[in-house]
Amino acid sequence: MSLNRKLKIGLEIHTQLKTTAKLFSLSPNSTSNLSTKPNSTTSFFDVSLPGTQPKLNKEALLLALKVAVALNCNVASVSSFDRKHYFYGDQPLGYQITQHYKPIAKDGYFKLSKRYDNIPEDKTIRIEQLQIEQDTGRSLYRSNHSNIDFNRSNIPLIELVTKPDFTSTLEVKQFIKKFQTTLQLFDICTGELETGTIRVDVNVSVDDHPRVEVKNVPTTSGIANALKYEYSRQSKILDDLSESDLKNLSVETRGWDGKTTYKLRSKESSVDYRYVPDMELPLIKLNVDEIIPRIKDSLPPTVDQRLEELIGGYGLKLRDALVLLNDGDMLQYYKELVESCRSHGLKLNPINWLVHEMAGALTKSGMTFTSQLLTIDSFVQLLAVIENGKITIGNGKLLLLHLINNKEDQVKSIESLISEFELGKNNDGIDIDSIVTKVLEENGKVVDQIVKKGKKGKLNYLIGLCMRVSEGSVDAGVFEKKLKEILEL
Amino acid sequence: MSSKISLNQLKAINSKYNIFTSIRNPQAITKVESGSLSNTTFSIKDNFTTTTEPTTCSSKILNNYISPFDSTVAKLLQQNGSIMIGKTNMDEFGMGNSTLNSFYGPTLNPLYEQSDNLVKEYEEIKSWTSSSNGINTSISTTPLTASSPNEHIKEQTYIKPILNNDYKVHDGMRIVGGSSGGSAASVCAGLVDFSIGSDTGGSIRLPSAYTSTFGFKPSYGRVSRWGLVSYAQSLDTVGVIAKDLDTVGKVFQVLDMEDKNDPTALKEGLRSRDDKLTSGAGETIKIGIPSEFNLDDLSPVVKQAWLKLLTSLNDSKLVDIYPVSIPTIKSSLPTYYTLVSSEAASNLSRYDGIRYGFRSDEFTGNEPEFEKTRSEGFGEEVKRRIILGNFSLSSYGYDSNFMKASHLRGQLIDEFNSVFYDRNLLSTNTYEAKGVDFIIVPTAADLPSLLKDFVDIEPTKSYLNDVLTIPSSLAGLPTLNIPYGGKSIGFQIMGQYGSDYKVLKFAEKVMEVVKS
Repeated sequence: MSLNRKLKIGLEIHTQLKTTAKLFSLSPNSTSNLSTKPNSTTSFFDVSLPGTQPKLNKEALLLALKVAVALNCNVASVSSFDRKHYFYGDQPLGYQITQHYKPIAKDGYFKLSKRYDNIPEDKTIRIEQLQIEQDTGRSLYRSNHSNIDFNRSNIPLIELVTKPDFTSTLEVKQFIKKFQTTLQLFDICTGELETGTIRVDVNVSVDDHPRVEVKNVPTTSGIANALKYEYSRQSKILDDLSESDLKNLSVETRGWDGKTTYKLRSKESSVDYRYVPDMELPLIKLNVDEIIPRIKDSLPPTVDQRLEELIGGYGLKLRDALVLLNDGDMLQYYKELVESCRSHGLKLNPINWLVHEMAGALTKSGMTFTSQLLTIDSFVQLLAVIENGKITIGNGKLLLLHLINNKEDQVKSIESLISEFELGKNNDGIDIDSIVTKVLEENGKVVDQIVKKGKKGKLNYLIGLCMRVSEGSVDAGVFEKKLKEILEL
Repeated sequence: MSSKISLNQLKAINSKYNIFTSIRNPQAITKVESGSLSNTTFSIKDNFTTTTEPTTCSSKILNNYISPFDSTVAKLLQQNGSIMIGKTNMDEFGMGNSTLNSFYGPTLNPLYEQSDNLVKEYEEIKSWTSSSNGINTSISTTPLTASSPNEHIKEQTYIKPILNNDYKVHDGMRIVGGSSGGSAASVCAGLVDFSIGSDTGGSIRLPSAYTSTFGFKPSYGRVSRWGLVSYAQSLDTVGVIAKDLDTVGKVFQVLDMEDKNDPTALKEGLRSRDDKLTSGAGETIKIGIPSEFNLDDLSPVVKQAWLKLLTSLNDSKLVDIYPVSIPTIKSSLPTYYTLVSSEAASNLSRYDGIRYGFRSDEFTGNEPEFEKTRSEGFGEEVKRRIILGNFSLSSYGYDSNFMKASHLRGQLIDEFNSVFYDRNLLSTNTYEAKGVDFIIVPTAADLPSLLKDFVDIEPTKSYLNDVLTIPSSLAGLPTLNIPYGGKSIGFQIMGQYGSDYKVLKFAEKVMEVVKS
């Protein structure tokens, strides 16, 4: 089987908008909150009672325009709603109100780069169109029947369709991540795939043969796996087909069960949606030249702008910058910490201590980060004694763990804590000579191997033993120096 | 203007003509003493939602369906003191012009003799409404118990006519017209002071003509459609039927207001209430007679009445009469049936038996349950129009049928605009202030068919009865049927879009002339 075939991928992404009310009614939008009692946030229109009519929620329109701006799209001065017909138990109107003929925005792009997105080459993904539409209810399948929860019915969605510009799974993953982060930063969507606030369909074509659509893959890793599976499945089919058979290939829709894709329908059984302009919803008319600049001004910095501040401005690695970007609280804490370190004349960048050591200590304690856990002042004092070599890194970590778990000690000075717990480095009460002598006496064999057979690597073993006896209160370098001195190495 | 008759008298008349699908239990009536409509009674077509009795559209698919909310129209009328008597029979979902296409049997024309009873008895039916504070209201046909202290359970009853299995219709009986046939009949038989109907292609005007009453279809968007079950909502309008113009006017004034719940409601700023009949002082009113309405198959009796009406208006010096031409009227019938069936096919796709209404409770491996539900729940005419509509919307028919019809509709509106003196409030085209003030044409080409003849007529042939009422529906024009020329004959007075008050005012003048 040849895996050198050309891969082309396009995405269709459905995003629930974080509005207060639903798209065409006043019932609350419970978006990702799956614990809401079924059928409790439904209005008469949401279950399509006879005699009800839709009324466009302007908040949904505003959020849709923010998405359009984030994706650099051309916003239409006139757009309109259409009906897409199909029967399904969780589709209460018998049609979905969507935008088929005149969508809200078209022809945008979203950039992925080496610097911010960890991909080998810079890449621009073109956006074909954006449309506002209604979500459907949720079918809950039971053994011999299904229940329907209409809470999701009529929640506003944005459907985004990309051009088939992706050529690798990595690009797809990074695009989805960046899009999610953008939605969260702009407060457009909660941005989770797991709860279905973002749903992704992927279109895969191998060597420009008719595309295969894989619908509703629930996680980013699932998407990557489904893509890999489809690539090898389609490649294998192409390997086995003759020239004449290749002409008979046609568009197909498939599902994903977590391991493999399976056929849902082919071109022959595709649905004629009978699109028709909705006859009661008014056209959306926008003064684009006036509104779009105002929306642009209202938006906070983009993902790339924020990453540049952290990478270029604070000298962080992309990996660490992403950790901060995804936790606004930690980001703010970091900036204050840096500021305070500078004013105390410290040279070290506290990023490692924050995103690695502190995160490690939190995991050990079964806690998650909040800016209230450790005062900036306490943290800076700790970093100062470490930078000045007053305590070892190991003891610094111990003290950090202690401070997080004993908030009352954060008011004490670090110096007093060091002496209270005897964490000071190489100080009174510890006799380096006698520790080293004792270890050498007890390990004659090892000493022989080092001195007589030249196995210098064994020295580390002796250093480790010395450290153990001193309970880590002395730097390893001190013992190394002493051992070398005695053994004349 | 009040008509007060006892429940027993009402039942007796209803039993012969089968006018109501449900009658409100007098105990369920809450009176509002004040208001411009106090001391009046009304009936409302069974495609407007009310919470006290079912809203069925005369369809099996909504049999016994009780809405949890009141239509804006029903609410406004009761707030202004009018008393609701019952819901009236109709052609299923508004599809028809005879009121024979009903799950609840035909409504007969009270202008003609009928001796046998269609209704054998009246059943009092209980229902329960539970409303907890907030958006959730549920209605049940089995007793409810409150599950929380915030929940209020209300028990209510309505009176449902039960049809005889077998009944004889008098040989001379003529159809009442439709689809608002029950509404027109309830007014004609003197059971109510006025009735609310809906008019999509003539559904108020045709039965008004056939029952010799006044029937007013206002400009599109003028009266709220919130709570009107959609048939074809780019054409659906809400209107009034009454025996006198004064009542029509009073009711229209109550209903003429913007409703935020209706996305197609005319904006308050565009609601002209001007009823000045001519542009300048001392000028006569100009009447246009479009040659396209002068059909070959216009019956002699209607033709003569039309001529007589125009002659007396001309003689009175009230008006000058001009021939005008609106060529696209010739295409209006196929245009209308293409659009109306397309919209209906879309609107009726919600009836799947899952959330409310009739459900077959039968399914096989071969077809989903909703197929069986819909095939049993809809009547033949409804199914015919759904199929026609779905063809027009399919990828095969969209451009050649639906888009072509939409285009012709636009063309027809432009032609009407060029004929009327007044400007169309919604038009952005250039406009010249010349033309006529009103158009006067017959409402129906002939007397209503004998019922025994009509039942055998082919469906497409029956569509021809709508040819005179459809053009003003496609253009959204305010149009009033006035009874004139004898039993079951009527004429339409049409004005430019938005000039509803002028149409009503001019009708008064016309009635003064023809009475003298």
